[in-house]
Amino acid sequence: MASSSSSSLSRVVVKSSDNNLFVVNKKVASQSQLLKQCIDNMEEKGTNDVILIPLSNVTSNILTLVLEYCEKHADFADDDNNNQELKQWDHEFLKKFDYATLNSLTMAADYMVTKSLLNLCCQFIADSIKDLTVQQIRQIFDIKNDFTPQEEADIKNENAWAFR
Amino acid sequence: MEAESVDWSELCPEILLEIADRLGTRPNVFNFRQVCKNWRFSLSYIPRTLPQISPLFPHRFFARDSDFFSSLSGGTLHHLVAEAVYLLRPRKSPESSKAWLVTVEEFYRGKLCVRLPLSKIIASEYLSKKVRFSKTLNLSDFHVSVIARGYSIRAPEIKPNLSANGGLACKNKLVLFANPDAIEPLSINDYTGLVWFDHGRVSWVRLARPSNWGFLDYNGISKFDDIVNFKGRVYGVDRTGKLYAINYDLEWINEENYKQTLRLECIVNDSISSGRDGDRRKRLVVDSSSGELYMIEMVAYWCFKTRFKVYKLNEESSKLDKVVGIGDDRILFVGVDWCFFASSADFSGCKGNCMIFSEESFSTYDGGMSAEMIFIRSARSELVFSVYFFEDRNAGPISKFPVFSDLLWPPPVWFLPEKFMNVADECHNYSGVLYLVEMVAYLCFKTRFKVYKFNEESSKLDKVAGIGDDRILFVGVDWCFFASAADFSGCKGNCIIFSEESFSTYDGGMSAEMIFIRSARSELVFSAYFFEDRNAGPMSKFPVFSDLLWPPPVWFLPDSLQSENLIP
Repeated sequence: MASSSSSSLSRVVVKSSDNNLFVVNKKVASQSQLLKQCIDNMEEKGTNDVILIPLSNVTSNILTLVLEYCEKHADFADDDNNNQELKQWDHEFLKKFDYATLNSLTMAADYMVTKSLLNLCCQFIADSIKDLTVQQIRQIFDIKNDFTPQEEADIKNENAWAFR
Repeated sequence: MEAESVDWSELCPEILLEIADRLGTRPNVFNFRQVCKNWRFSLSYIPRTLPQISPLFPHRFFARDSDFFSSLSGGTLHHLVAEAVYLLRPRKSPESSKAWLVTVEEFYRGKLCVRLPLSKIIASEYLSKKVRFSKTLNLSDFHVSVIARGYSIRAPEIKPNLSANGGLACKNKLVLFANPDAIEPLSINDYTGLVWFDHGRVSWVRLARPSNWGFLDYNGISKFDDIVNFKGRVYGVDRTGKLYAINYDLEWINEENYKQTLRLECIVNDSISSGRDGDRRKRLVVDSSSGELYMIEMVAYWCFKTRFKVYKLNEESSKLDKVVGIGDDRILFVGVDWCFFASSADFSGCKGNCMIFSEESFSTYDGGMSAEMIFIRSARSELVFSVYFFEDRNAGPISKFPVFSDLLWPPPVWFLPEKFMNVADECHNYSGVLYLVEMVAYLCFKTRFKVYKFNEESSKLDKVAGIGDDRILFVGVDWCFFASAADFSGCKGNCIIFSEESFSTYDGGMSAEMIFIRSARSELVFSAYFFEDRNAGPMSKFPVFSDLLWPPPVWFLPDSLQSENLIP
């Protein structure tokens, strides 16, 4: 197999936890610090083969979404002027998902070190929590109350107004 | 779309911390930490400087644009502060623990300042230094509801006061307007502040730098009565009752450069027919629960015959439809800038379909106070409110409606930190018998009076239980006399009407409990005390007594004052 003399890779193959392969352009992959690190390591070694990066924690469903995000952001990486358009796209992007998907996407963003996606997810989650009661939060995220009555009473006492 | 193991309670602490960091306000973080153990331990404590009311405020900036900000104040450092009206209801409610509708602002992040009701005046700056409020309030003891939120602008040189020309802090209204095209989460740069001044002009300033600014103007109409934020958009009403929606727009300087500006769109073009008395500020009020915009107009036909008209915006027909009242389930509060509905169900014992308003909230354009306002005004200087019932068009000072006045001021017992004790005494003389009356304030709100009768034979002061059902004792600083209860029809005897200074403390300070039982009317600083049940209260709560003293009855007013308002 003939290989070029250049030591830079143009694409990588990413494998999801359910063993699906995704061919990803290097610029897109670089949106993830995890993938970028792998690529940089391989380039340092001078490998010219297409490399395979297995992601044992990310399913193909979720990986598709992360890559969709990375692709969009890679498109805008050199373009400062369209910040507003990208913000708009980000805003619409997360709206489509249910809370289970949002959870997996958040963990995948964390695992793949895609900081801007992680920030976006955390902001989205925070925005959905704002102004809700504790019961409503537990309901939408399906979380059980695991406090003892004494602990609950202690927490309630932390709710105070300070005056000056 | 399916996903693996979804357990929100098991998110890793780093992610939970990232989420908590974006919640913006103290109540949100408090709720977050109540969800489950894992969420709670991701954030070991609630940061002390986390804002209570609004994530972006207080916001401080130096005004570089001297033109605009010099119209606000002479200074440079300005503060945009969030303000709110909360209803606090004690969970355990013994009779003494009443509900309180408290107005607060957040000048320092995470710390609230109590204001006088529905005003911009910081209570501690207005009240005697001796009065101190609690430094903290444990909210677990209360049901807390947010009744209204708002913003105001402060600058160090602006000292609010109660005089008629109370300065900027009293006579302006700030409405924030987020650019509808801005994407969440909003930053301060996405906002424009609109400031209504009592002379009717509305200026706007972008909070982003450089801050463009200007005055609202629609084909030469530049005077407005009120502005509100309704469904994310700002609306204004002009002096003829025409309603405008205000939109963000761009002003092109040349082909490439533009600056942001605001553009008015007239959405209700019919003038409101307010007869001969259209010389008075109209008010806009938003009911956020029902998504409706109302306009309130005060019509003073003649002295003592104040009436209010209510209009509701019909967005389909672009008209202001006249409606009869606001409904039995609601109470409307109107201050100079505050304007909000509350549910009458939240205020036990309060009738709905009524309005609590300050005397300046429907000011006349020439700034004068009309005669009828002087007489229906509530008397307490901290509580210059009146009540109007839409159903029977009855109006009166709030002091006549203790169920409302108790809700606003003074603060309830549970908001006072310390117990006070005070003793003062004074001698009184009646039909050959010398009495000595001693005021004993055991603790705050527990004022009691002891009466001694001089026994000439034994040269002793004999303690007596009261002064008798047939008598009323009046005590001023120098005046001191008994009157026969029979002369005052409807007045109970065995009681004392006294001014706050008549039992002064030796150090000259006003004791805390007096500030709270004092009658509020500045011309009428009296309290009443009933010997029988040891009940005491500001005289404004006992109209049968207060009416006797002040204001002068209608028949004592010159005709000219009564008819003044008939002249257009």
